[in-house]
Amino acid sequence: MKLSELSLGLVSVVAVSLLFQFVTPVLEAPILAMGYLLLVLFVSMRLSYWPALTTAIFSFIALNFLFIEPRYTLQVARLQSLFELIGFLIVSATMVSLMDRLKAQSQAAKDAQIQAEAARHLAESLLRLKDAPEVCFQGSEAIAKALGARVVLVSVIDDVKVDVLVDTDASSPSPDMTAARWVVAHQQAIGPDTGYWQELDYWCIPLYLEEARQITLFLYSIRKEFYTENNLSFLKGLANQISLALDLLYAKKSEQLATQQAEKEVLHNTLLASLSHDFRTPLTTIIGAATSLRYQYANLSIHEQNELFALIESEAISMLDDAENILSLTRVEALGELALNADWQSWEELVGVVLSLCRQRYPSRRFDVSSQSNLPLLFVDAKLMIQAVMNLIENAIKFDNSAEPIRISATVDMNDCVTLSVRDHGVGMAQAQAQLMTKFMRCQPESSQPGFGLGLAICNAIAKVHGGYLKLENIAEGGLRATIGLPIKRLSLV
Amino acid sequence: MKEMAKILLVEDDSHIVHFLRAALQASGYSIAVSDSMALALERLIDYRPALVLLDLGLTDGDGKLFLHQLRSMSDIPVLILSARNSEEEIVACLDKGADDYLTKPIGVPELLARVRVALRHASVIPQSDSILVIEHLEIDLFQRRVLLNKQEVHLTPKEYELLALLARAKGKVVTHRRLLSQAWGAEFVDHTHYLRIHMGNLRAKIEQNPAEPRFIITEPGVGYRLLLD
Repeated sequence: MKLSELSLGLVSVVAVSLLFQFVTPVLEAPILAMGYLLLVLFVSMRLSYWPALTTAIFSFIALNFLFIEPRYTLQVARLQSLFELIGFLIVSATMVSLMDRLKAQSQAAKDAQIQAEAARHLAESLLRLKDAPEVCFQGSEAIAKALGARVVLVSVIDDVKVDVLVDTDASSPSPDMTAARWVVAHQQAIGPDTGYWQELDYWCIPLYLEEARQITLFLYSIRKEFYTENNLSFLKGLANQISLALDLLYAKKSEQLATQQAEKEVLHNTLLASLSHDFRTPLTTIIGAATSLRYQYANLSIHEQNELFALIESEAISMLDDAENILSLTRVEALGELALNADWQSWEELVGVVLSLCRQRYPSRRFDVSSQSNLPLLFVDAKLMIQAVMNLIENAIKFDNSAEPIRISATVDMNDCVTLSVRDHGVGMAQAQAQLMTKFMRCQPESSQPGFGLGLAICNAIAKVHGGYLKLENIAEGGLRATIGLPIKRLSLV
Repeated sequence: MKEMAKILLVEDDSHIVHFLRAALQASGYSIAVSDSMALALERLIDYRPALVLLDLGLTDGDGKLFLHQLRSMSDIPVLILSARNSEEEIVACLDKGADDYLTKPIGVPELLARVRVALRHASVIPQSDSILVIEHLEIDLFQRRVLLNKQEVHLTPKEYELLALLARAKGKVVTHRRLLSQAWGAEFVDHTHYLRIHMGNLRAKIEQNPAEPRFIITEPGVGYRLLLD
């Protein structure tokens, strides 16, 4: 019983009694009794059960002592007054206990609402997290905060291997691992009010079952009265949110793994297909030209000889490009971002290198370069980006026999991406771009055109590993525009 | 009759030796070949080559080791000729004192051009007036002035610094690290964005078309080079 509440009750009885002293000449005792009842009603709304009941008894004594004849004694002169007094006592005591129950119910409703809100909030915040240790950590912290207690997560692998995953108060002694093992073995919460291991001063509940390990949750509160049925169900509700979040996370991960696996398989197949086509074809040419030169040298004119030599050279160079592409592709696919040797690069420099390569290889072609002024620096792997743009240009050259220049341009688009585009005036594409890129398909299967897909596949992989994309679109006036979009990375000048 | 330069070829692949020897001899150079670093060191002393063509993957170790030993006794031009084409490898070789880096496979015309350039640079007697003229660009390292078509170009101190560093390298590649540490200080070697921005401004001032530079050539991932001729 709180002393402050008790004295508040007492003071209010004294105050009301003093007030009533002035009105006694006018009002009779039964009316005053109703006044006291009103006081008890107010007091029981504000104070807890025992102070309210004590206030009721004080009121009863004050009524008897001050206002029932003979006044200023505890004696009762008339039988009717005695009934009045007993009635007062019964009504006020009933009122106090009714009010107490009402308060308890509304408190329970309020608690339930708070708990539901806490569980919802926890669920939302856990869903945003990307890995299991983070979910365990944030979840434990949230439970510890919501219940004002220490939370420890323990992972049980077998009888020997038991680890503490999270401890919101690591300075306290570590939990009893035997308890954790029992909980795992019986899938049953233990501790006060659980029906098992009642003598403990903490709760331990099963939390989550992974493939190889079982996580249990320990909860320690320093307040004995904390261990109520209500709090236990609250704890279980919160813990359930953690296990749901973990469930979702693992489901997502296995889905991702499956997709990656599938992508890898496609890559494998396409690499093999590309090896057999993109390498066999030029090798056939090279071997043919070389053997002609060796065995029929004398019968060939100087012009023919030179043509065969040039053929060997150009086919070998194209094989070298394919080899570079396959190397980069496998490296990027295998290592992901780790394959990047990224640094701040200026587009002007990159396109400068690309152009000088183009001028060497295609002296008769025209190139038209336009760049938006003040393009931001790009945080990219220079070598891979040059390779990607070169591939787009070579692709454009292969499919464009017109005299129009190949247009290379760079701008910043509305989505805050730098877009690098190569536009040709060739035949465009007939099939869906996704198919082009993933399946290394050519526009005409088994066509005599040199490799089409490998170059785009590596462009796509390079764009992706930089967090960007490759987009192919037919242009209404004819030709194809290939665009690499790269999200702008802001330079932090520290 | 003018005596042609002697070249030491350090290479252990017999096919490559075969075609390199043919190509270089056809251009009038005399060639000595060694297939290991140990032999190469001996040949360096008894053959007295004017230039070394060095492969990195040798039977008795990494050619960089030989480069290191060679640099402690001579400053003759060394061209690296390697199938390793990673930027780190190229930068490491250039920083260790290689004059140029050629990646296999390489065409014969380009190889011969690089050899000619390296030999010419080595034979240039240091000029006392320290004025470098490339076509219509004139860099006066003594007076710290740059003229383009006889008109003075106003460069910021950093832009001048970068151009002067490239000019002093006489056409050799200068790595990003070196440019950054010389122009800004050793603690700035990772701030490549400084370099991109100042190099962009410098090119805008001296190049007719910065996207197709005539003077300052980008070696992607490695550094920059002043193209002399």
